[in-house]
Amino acid sequence: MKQLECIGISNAVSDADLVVHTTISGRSAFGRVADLLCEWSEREHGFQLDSVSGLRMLVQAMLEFSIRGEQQGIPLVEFAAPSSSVIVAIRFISWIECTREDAEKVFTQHWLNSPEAGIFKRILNPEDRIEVRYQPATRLVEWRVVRPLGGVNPEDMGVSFVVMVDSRDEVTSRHEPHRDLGDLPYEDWLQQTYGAANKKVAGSGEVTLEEGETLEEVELARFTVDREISDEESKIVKNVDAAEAEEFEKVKSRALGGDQNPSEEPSDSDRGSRSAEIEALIEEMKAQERTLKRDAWIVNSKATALESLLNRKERMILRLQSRQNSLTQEVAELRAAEMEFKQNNPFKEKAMQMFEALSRAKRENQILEKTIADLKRKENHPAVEDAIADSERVAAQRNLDELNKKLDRATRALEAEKAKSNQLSARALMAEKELAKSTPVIQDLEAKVETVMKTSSQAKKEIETVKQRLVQAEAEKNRVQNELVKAQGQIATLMKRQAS
Amino acid sequence: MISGELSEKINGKVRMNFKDRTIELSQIESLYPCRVDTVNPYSLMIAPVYVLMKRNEKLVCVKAPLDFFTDEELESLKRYEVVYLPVSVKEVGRFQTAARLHRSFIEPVNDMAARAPFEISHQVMKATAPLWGASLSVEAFFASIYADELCGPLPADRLMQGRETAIVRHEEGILLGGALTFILVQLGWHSLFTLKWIREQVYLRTVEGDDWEHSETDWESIVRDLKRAFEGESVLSIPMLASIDGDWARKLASRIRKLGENSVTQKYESLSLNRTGGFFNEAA
Repeated sequence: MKQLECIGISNAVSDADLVVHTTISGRSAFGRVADLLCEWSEREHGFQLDSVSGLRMLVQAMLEFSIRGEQQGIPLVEFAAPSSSVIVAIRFISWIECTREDAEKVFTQHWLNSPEAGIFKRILNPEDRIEVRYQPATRLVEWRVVRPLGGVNPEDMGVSFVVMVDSRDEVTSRHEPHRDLGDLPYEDWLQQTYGAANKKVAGSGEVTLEEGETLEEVELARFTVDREISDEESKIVKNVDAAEAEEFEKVKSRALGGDQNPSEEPSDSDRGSRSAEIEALIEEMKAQERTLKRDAWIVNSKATALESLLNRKERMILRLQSRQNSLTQEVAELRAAEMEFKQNNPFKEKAMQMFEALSRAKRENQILEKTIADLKRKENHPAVEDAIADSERVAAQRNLDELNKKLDRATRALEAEKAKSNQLSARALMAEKELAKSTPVIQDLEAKVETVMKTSSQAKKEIETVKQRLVQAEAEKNRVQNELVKAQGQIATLMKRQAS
Repeated sequence: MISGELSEKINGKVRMNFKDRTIELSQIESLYPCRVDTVNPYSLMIAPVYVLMKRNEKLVCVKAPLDFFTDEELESLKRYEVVYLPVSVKEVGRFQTAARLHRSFIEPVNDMAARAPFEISHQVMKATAPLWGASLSVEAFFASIYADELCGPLPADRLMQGRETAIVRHEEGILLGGALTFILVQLGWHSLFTLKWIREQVYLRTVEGDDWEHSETDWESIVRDLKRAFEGESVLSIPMLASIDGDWARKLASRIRKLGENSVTQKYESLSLNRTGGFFNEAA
């Protein structure tokens, strides 16, 4: 068991290499995190598509791995691509409890037997290296995958697995270039990749979905497709292995002289030179085999990926077609309903008009029927009609007689009133004559009354004058009396003075 | 009642020694009125809080910055109807707004898929760019206001106990917890549940006297580094991060340097409690 130098991949890369990192907060974002990591690696480091595709699956599987079990912290992903390899690390609180001593055993068992490790195994390339770093004190575990780029030594083929346990002698790297995934211009990249028309990138950087699609569905579909590709890849590799092994055996057999006559024994020198040639041929064939295997794997994985994508697109097209059919049907139903509705409204109006016309017709019919009945009645029963006419004539004559009587009575009353009026006129004439006779007498009497009135008014004035004179006299009398009193007083005073 | 921390010292520095404990009535126009019923109990105050004493014709400070009101205190203040805060509170409000924005990024919207962490991270950095300001620094006080708005108030009973029994450590716990939360957010920790739990742990353990020297987890080592760094000055900045030997500090410094290239960051001035118009005096 090796001693852990430090958790975190910045120790494993040179000072100039950029380490990209992000946290994981939910399962729904796995695909997008993996996509962005691969997009960055492709843009910054120019990886080939097959490598990137495999990488995306790897990252996604690692994320899935990290989020299982209890969560006491937030998983962290780190990614770097130094010149010769790609390093992906995922760090989280481990749900596997073990001590420092049994860590290697426990994690190796986990790697060999657990279903989580199975995800890795299906995705890993043969040349990948798995490193597990563990801090028993904090239960912090880092799963690190190192994938070499470029030529790989055939002897190194086969996934290697190493467990390292933290000695708590913490060594901190002095690594500087770090970049959070959120600081990458991912919105621009998404827009460049998907274009503004189809999958528009929202302000938050989220990809808008097609109609009826949820993000979970897309993620699931993508993961399923990835798994299918992975399965197909492994099958293809196995088939290629089997076929090429068979071919190789045949060639080897031929090279070793399997088809030659066994009785013809070669000489030692011939055998030595042939053996060297065979060895060289075998080496060459092995190299060719590896190249072919690799090429076949690449081509097949591309084909399978394309096929899967095609299948997915076909499925999507089918789904869209069925949706289109159902929509067309719905539209047709709606149009039919609309037509029905349009047709129903005029029918109501027409019905109303017809109803009115019918009512009118009924009324006219009744009148006509009545007229016809009258005509028929007149036509069929003339005696009855004559009897009715006689009775009507009698009644009218009776009314006329009564009216004549009333007229006579009114005429007589009028004549009586005329007579009374004449009498009253005569009386009025007589009264006028008597009035004319009595007018001079009245005038004389009136003149007398006037004279009396004037006399009486003069008398009244004289009386008033006398009264005033009386008042004046009385006042004079009082004055004189006062003067008398005064004079008497003076006299008395004078008398007193004289006496004194 | 003015809290005791006004005169307390931490590492030889007066922290909450703001300038004006009483303000003349004539200056009331320069204050920002706030209705008492809008104040949340146990939320950290972002500035000194004053009430108007009509008979004395003065405004008297009833609560210091980073202190909090209890339910009973708010009940007794109801008769005043309005409390007053310095106008600089509007600038501090920038941190609260950013925290509310952050919450909205994290909290899932109905019928919508959760955002990817890098999307949240991108949005958070956009929202926090103005907080760092042109000089790329954030004081721990403002980080604490941000954390309080983001995570909500700390548990009431623990806050009361901390304030009554260990006022110095109480304040230190608030500042450490706030700064840690602010840093974790910048480092891509977007689980609100985890952030709340960690902030509470930092506060409780600091009040209980933990010196954070025996750290094990990622966030514990950040608290340890912060505690050491805050012995000088409680400010998060590039020089402060450069002085720390840790992966987290280099990652954060890398992000902040990138923010420095942003025109939005350059447009805003970095807030400081001691600058002109602030409500604190220079530390003694």
